[in-house]
Amino acid sequence: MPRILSVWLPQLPLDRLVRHGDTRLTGAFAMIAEESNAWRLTHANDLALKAGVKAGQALADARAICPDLLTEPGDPVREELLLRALWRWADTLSPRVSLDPPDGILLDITGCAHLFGGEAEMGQEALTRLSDLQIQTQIGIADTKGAARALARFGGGEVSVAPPGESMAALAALPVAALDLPQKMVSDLARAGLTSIAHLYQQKSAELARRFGLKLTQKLGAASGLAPDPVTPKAADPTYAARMTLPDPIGFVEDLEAVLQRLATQVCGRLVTDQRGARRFHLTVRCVDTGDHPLSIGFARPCSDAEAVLRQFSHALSKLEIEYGADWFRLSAVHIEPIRLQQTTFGEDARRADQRLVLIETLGNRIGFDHVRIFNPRDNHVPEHEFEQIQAAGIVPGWQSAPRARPIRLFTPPEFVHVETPGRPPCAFKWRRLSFQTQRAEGPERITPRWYREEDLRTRDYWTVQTAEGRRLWLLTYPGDENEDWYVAGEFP
Amino acid sequence: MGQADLHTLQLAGTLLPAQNALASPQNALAFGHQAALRKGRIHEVSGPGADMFAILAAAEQARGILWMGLYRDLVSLCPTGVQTYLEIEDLILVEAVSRGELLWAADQALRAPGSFCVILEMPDTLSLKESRRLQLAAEQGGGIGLILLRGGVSTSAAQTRWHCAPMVAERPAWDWRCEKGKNGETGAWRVTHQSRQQGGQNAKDTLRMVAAAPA
Repeated sequence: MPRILSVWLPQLPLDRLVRHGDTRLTGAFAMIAEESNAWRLTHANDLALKAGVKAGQALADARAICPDLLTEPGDPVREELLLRALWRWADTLSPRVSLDPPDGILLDITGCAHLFGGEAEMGQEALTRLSDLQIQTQIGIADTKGAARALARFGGGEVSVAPPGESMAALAALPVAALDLPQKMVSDLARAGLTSIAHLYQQKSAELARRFGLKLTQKLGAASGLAPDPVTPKAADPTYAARMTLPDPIGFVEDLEAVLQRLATQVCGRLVTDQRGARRFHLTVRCVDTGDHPLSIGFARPCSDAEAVLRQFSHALSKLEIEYGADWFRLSAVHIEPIRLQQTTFGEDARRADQRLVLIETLGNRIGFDHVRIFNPRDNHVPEHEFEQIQAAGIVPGWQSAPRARPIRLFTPPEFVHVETPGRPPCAFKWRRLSFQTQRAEGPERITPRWYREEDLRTRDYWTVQTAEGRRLWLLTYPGDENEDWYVAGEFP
Repeated sequence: MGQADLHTLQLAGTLLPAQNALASPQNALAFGHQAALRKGRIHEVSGPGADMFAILAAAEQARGILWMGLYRDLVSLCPTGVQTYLEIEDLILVEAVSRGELLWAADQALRAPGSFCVILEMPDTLSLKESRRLQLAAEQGGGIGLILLRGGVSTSAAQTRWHCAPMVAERPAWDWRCEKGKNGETGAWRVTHQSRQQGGQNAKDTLRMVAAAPA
């Protein structure tokens, strides 16, 4: 049977200020937030509570009750950062920890409690350690997440423990709101006379579901252990980044490269240890006068080689304009992928493939990866759509040869031809200010348009023409068109 | 169609009359019946058949081919036609937005280890300084640079300069005229494309262009 420990941090925003040493908290103090165009109190400290202020009150009312009240709007971002810090800290108690935002942490303590001398002792230990960190806490321990949460928030004591298998009994006395239901549902239940969880046990769950929705029965089932509701620890994705702050700004390229060398060695060392590589690296250079300069490079395959990072950044660094120097640097690796190690020192093919990728990286980082491309076949019968150009980086080239012989140059759109002696195809014509005589012609090859697309819907006739001047052209006309214009669609070798 | 042919180009026609008058003994001496493009060098190609010269030369190289140019030059390249002569998998397209970027990319690719075959579509003339830099890059990397001159021809540091034009013949044929050769290896050939036919061994550091049959 799993055992869950729920940590509730009821005064997290206030604790954050206490930890910062805010002197205003020696008097009556409250955190406020704007709710539907009115400022309301969200958290109030002990002195404020003693003066008669309550959380949830309108700010104006609270001021009337307690004229000395000092307030500050909440800062959800910083509060979440503190919560995440505590979430990482909670590793000391159990390896499986998940966040329960905005003000809780859930720990799966199955098999951990004996290390602390028992569940109640473990709860007490957590409480002591957190109060050392100046954070107020209430703790509930039960068989399920829902029950542990409910006990932490509504259990009454600082540490409430429901013995194994007795979670339902422990919940019975608690109010319905302990099930983490929406406010509206709680008031609906109260109107029906269902105020405590024990009342819900007496009802048939089908009737509860029909009247109040499936959400209620789901919550009840999860809290009483009838439906599975495991703690899913949110894996802390490792960040591969390093930063460096210097006492004095630097500006020479050699110095910048030395800094980058150190950062890259650190980041790539961690990547190598984890057998991973990154496809992109970002470098932020913070200048003392002009602020942050983001630089970034890409790789055609996952890379964890510090030398390569340095090499690819060298161009970007040399272009950076630094007047008064920079004193803060951060290198981060993004698009992390596992590396499949490959021996490149043995065998011609592997080395060639490696050299090809290095060249693609070098070119791509300067002129853009979208400008280094390969051909990709497409399943289509229209000559200009039989292939496409796609980005070369990160793609294994594959080509399936098209079934028909086509010119080596294809002009899209086709180029207009001045017909001098008409014929089919024209006997003499001018193209690109050059005169041509038709000597031999083969055709027509008729290609029908893709009627299912919104494009030029004219049927095309292609002729392969050997001109007396030597060049072999692919002439195009649209049969059935009013004016019989001719175009050059391509050139054969 | 389209499978990987090891192409053999056959010397089919006769030398052009002008060429005969110019330097047939040197030609015979320098080239024999084989045209060879030295690696670690850049070569210039002009004329309406320049594409085909580059494609056939690159097909001999067989691996690591970069085709560089501005958008207008690359967009018209049609792999469904090129596939007859070249493995399309080996081809990387590099589209530059300016002349400077184009030259930088060519320099990097020629300099890179791995002896790539770099086909550079030059929209205008290449100055002597620029061609020297490319030449030095090619010497460093050991690859081969084929510069398709779309603009005019000018003095350059290239090893050879070719003028290529398609010809009227029973089957597709081209006239390749070597107008300049640093080692005096000028000459002219009429070339046809033959299907698979094994030629001789390649000399070291050369790219075989024409497997010989006597003229």
